Amino acid sequence: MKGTEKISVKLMVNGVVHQIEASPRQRLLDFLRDDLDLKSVKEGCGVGDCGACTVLLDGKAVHSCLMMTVEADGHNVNTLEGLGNDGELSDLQQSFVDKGAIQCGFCTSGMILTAASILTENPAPSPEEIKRALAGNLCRCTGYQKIIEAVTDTAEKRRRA
Amino acid sequence: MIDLKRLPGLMEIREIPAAAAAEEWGPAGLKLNGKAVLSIGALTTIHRLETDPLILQQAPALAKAASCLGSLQVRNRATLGGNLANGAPTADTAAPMLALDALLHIWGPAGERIVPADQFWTGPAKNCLKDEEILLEILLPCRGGSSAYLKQGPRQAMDIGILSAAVYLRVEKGLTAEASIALGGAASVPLSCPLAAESLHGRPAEAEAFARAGQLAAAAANPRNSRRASRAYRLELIPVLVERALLQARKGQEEIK
Repeated sequence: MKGTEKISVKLMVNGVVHQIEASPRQRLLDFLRDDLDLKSVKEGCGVGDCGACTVLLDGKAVHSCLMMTVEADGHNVNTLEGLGNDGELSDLQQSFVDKGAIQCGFCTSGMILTAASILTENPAPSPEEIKRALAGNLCRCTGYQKIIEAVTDTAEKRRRA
Repeated sequence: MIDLKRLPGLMEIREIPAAAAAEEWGPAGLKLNGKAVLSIGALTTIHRLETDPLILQQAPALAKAASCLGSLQVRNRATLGGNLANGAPTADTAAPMLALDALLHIWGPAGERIVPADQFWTGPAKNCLKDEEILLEILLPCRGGSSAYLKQGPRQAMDIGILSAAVYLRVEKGLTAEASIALGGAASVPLSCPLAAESLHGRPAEAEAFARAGQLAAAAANPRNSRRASRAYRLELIPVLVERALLQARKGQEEIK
């Protein structure tokens, strides 16, 4: 059947190179969760509204539910699992813990990855800029205030360091 | 099938000096009128447009429109070519194309052609691309004035606009020397309002003339009733957004000087 032939894809995930034969119909989300067992990547809406499936593609926040595995060929993908160091939390994750920016946790991976990409582009974002950049990450528990505080906290700590 | 990766320049933003632009685009690019051109590859991402220094400086209306589109995740993947070719009358980047006099460079097996933005859209989700043709690049003449974009949506983020206004304005000695006005969501296609823009020529670049242009733009519009807003509300919005966008563009030009 047409469209079922596997396609060779080479991509890096959290620093590890994977050479795979991917179905052209497989979403990057499913490759990461099902084949690599990276369960931090969540499927919320599956249509690019909620941001729970956010991953970093070459450092930029993208929806893994709106992307095919084959489209990631030659790219560098990072999930939350790739953020910390040897089981240590990253500074951004620690700020989320310190500020109580987590309740159920379902949105947290995507929220932290989008926040990480913002801080790469803009090391000193205003609360308004953080809100705008996180507009595509929905949280139904925290009311966002503590999340914004957590991102600000990391930015401030990095500036002081 | 076309392998997009083999076409050069699709992800580039480059400034082409007037002489080179005349040579490259010749009679096809008549509307360029000996001006330098900004060439934007169709695969340039929306996020690149909202952050690129050249776009922020030469086409602030486009940079602002790009910043209003979807979420950061979407903007990191969505492209200018995709947003334009999709053909939504409310597409954020569409009205700026009209206000900025963009020329669309189209490529296909039968050859290349250049279409002015106001001839690109033919109906809701319809454009003039023929089978096997693709949008290759977008050419923006560098005209010296400033531009602005305003969008009114049901909410502040992550939504399609109810109405949007893109304007271009060049002021000389307090008088409007050149202007363009375009609307998103005001008709079945992104709408250019030449009569409204012409009403500004040679008049003081002040709120009174801007408000009058807004009224003329509303008179040219034919918005629909939809889930997002009524026709009546859209007609009320047009003069407000047009006037405010013109004021912003005037301020933008003052800041350049």
